[in-house]
Amino acid sequence: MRPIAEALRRELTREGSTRAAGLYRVGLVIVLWAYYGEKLALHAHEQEPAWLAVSVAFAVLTSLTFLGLWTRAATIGLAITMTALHFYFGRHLGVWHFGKAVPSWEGALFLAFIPAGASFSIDRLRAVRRAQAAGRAPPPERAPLWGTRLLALELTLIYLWAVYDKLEPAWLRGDELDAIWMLYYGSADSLAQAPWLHSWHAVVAWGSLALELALGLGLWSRRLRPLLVPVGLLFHLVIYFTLPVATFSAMMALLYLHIVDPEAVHRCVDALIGAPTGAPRSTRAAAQPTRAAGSS
Amino acid sequence: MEPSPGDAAPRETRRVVLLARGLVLLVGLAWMIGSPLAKMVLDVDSKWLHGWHLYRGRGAGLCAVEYSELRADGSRAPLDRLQTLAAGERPANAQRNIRRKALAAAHAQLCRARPDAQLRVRARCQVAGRGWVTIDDDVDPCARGAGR
Repeated sequence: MRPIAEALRRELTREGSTRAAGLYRVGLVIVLWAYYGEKLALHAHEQEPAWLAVSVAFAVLTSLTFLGLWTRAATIGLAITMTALHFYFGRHLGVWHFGKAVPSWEGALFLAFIPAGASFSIDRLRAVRRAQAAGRAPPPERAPLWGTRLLALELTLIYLWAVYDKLEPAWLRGDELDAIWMLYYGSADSLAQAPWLHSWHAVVAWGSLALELALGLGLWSRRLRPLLVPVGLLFHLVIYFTLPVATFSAMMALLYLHIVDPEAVHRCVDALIGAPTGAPRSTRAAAQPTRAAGSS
Repeated sequence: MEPSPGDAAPRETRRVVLLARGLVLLVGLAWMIGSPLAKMVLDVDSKWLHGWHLYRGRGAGLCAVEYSELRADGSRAPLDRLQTLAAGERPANAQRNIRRKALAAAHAQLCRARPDAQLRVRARCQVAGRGWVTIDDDVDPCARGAGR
């Protein structure tokens, strides 16, 4: 029991760069606006009080979250609002658009448990300015990351449940992909005109099953991750451009931010916008950035 | 070094914080496993639960058809449904895809377009969870009961 308890303690106290969490926060709000924005516009529900309340809450809280202003309170409020949207409006009242969006609801709920405001936010900017005014070094972009495990688990469990769901003869024979092809690209006559399509769909069906299984399990492997992350992102990109999946692909891509090493994300941002000056290159990741404007 | 009396309170606070974090992780994990487990494995019918059906079930109800024409010499030639309908009196009525409920109407439409031809059809329709189910197995689409 002791090693398990020790591993659990390590997990719950794990700290790291908050840049992935900051990027996720901004990306998530864009996904939420894309998916819910029009449905929650004030003109959409004829001023019914409950809809008005949730619309206003959504507009205010997503805006604050996007900017990273009072982030902790905003993300908690957003988690509550999205939960109400999902369960009350979606599941209870039966507004399908809200009830079916499980990844974005869970993604917004778990956002409340990650240090989303410590990077790329107005909160960060204010903290840096306060430190500068007091003659102190800017606070490091580091915080406990235990909550990001929820998002990594969400990503991989979606794949594993999808694998379970596809373990049916109708999928494995290629029957369902036949119908998807007919629906979006072909016609009722497609299989008569090109009988080879069915065999091809069987291959794709088994391939997608294998890929989702590999992603569901392999993304946890440090060794396989460098291969699987680009493959997974490419998979979602292909799906996005070939099937009407709304914001699902974008949401899944955002979740990948939490399966990769947060320090790697930190270094990647450094590489893109310039590493903080004043420290040798090898120690920059550990030392964390000191440049205020570049990381705020 | 001996702990000072003031250390007990922060240590206790830290323990509570860790417990709370652990509890959140546990509840989150339980939800992400439990809800699909109940819905997909145990077949619990509840609107509060969710399952994962990535890219599945989208074509349920669609039918695949294969029409052919019997010639006088006994041979058989494939019949291009859309081309035949496009050359008919109401080309705009030709539907690219055929739903299960509209299968008999699709047969009738083709029969009207080729009133003198001897036609045959093989038709299968998608049933959720079962895949292709044969509806018409090489029958005359113009006969009563075809496509039903």
